[in-house]
Amino acid sequence: MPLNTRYSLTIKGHASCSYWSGIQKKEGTGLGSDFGLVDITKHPGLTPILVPVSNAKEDRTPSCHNNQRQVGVSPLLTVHQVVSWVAPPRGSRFGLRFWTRQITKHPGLTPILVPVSNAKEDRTPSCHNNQRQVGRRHKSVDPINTMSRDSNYDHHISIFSPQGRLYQMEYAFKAASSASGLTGIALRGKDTAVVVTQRKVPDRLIVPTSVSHVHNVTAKIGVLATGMTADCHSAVQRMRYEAADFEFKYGYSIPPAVLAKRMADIAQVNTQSASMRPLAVVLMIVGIDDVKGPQVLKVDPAGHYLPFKGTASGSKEQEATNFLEKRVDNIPEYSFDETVRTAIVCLGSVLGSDFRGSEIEVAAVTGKDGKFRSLTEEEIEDHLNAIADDADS
Amino acid sequence: MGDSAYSFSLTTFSRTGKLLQIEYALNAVANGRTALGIAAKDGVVIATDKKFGSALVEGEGVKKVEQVTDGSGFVYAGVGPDYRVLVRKARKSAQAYFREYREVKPVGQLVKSTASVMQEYTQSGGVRPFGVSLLVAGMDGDGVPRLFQVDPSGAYFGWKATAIGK
Repeated sequence: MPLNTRYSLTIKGHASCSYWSGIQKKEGTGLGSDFGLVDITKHPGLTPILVPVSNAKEDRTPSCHNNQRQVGVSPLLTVHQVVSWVAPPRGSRFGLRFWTRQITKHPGLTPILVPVSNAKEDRTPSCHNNQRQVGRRHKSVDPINTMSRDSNYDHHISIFSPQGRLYQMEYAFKAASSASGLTGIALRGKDTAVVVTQRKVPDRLIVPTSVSHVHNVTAKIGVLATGMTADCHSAVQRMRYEAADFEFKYGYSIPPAVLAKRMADIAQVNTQSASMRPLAVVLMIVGIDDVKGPQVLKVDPAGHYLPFKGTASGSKEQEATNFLEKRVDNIPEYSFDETVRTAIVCLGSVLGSDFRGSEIEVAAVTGKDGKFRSLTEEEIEDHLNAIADDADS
Repeated sequence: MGDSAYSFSLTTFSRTGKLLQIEYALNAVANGRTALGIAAKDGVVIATDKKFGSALVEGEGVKKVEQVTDGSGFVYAGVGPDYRVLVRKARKSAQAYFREYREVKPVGQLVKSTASVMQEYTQSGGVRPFGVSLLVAGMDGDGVPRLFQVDPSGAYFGWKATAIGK
């Protein structure tokens, strides 16, 4: 039994709670400070249910009532466990330690672990000593009723927390930025849109070209997908399908902004419906729009999407964004070479090291008739050499 | 919209009779950027700010105030992606109305159907309520300017002037 876990005791099978209670205030103890256990054998035929209670701040019961316990309904299936009960030290503070007796002293009784919500709306009415709240007398667990204890589930599925936050979405962000450990940068110049990222091959036996986070979607649109690898592949597959479906329906190829909006709307569905988790992927969609020119759009797990002049994602996102913000006024006027080199220099400066052509991926699309393609290792080396020359001169 | 995996509603009554998910959704709205609307004698105005976290964002094309019919528009406070879903559904319903009646959908009807969608998401299985409050501004053929607010619960109110968000 972990320490500092509160357990509350109730005895199943009784609607009223006055005489089954296993916990009773000890004489002479302060308000709620010590609790003792009634000998269960005095209540034959009753099954004790151990109810672990969270010690988190928002879960604390109102303290003005002695021996008040809250019993909820468990989201776990009924688990029969033999639990050893430990006598508490004297003078332990309210809510810090709880106690249990040796179950072996009560043969024939099967303890059932039932987690409890201590959410505010579940608090019992006050003013009764030794009052216990018995939850529903379910023999098995009822998942439907547990959902009403919202504050326990807001971390697990896409429902609101009491402050109005969506934790699953926030966790998806964290997973996307830290899962792969890579940083990616996307930049758009006058007629070029570029993505750059590291190529970290986990094992020397792996074929390097198979490890890639840059994918083609259409001839003119490519994407840099950072985050959990399998989620990235799933998102890219969906993008390819959506782009092809658009072209089939409307007869012309999908503009990058429309594709980004579509992927963002798909991402939003996972933040609103409970059955699917959000994908831990940040998509940087890069392409040439026939009217607006080169575009960079970032789609995140929450379903937000924005067009950018330049942006970054992944573990060093903040540093890379700071680097780009310093050059924000010049970026939209960059030529192809300048765009590519600025992106590479940005990646180099946030990673703090130089790299060879085989250690980064660069992909770009240029001009109205351009195609999105990855640069070869030689081309990347040429750019790196040019950067080194510029730095020397 | 309910998922087969979750055939029960996620928004259920608490012991005190409150629907907590809706209250939490209102908290999400209260954390959103301010939007406001004023209905004047001969027109109605809605506005919101458009601040981005970075100078790198190309904000000119990003829109928070969206037109839904010729005579009405929306603005929101709260979770942006949820708002896009509501705009899309409203536009589709306005188009379906036009197809049936060959008339522009009146603002009041638009508000009612949008509010009804928002209410469905508080009761259907496997989904959470929308984290947005909408301000709907419009004028029908009668020339009377109208401003409505629609909340995550699906309740709607007519206002002379109001603000939502922070």
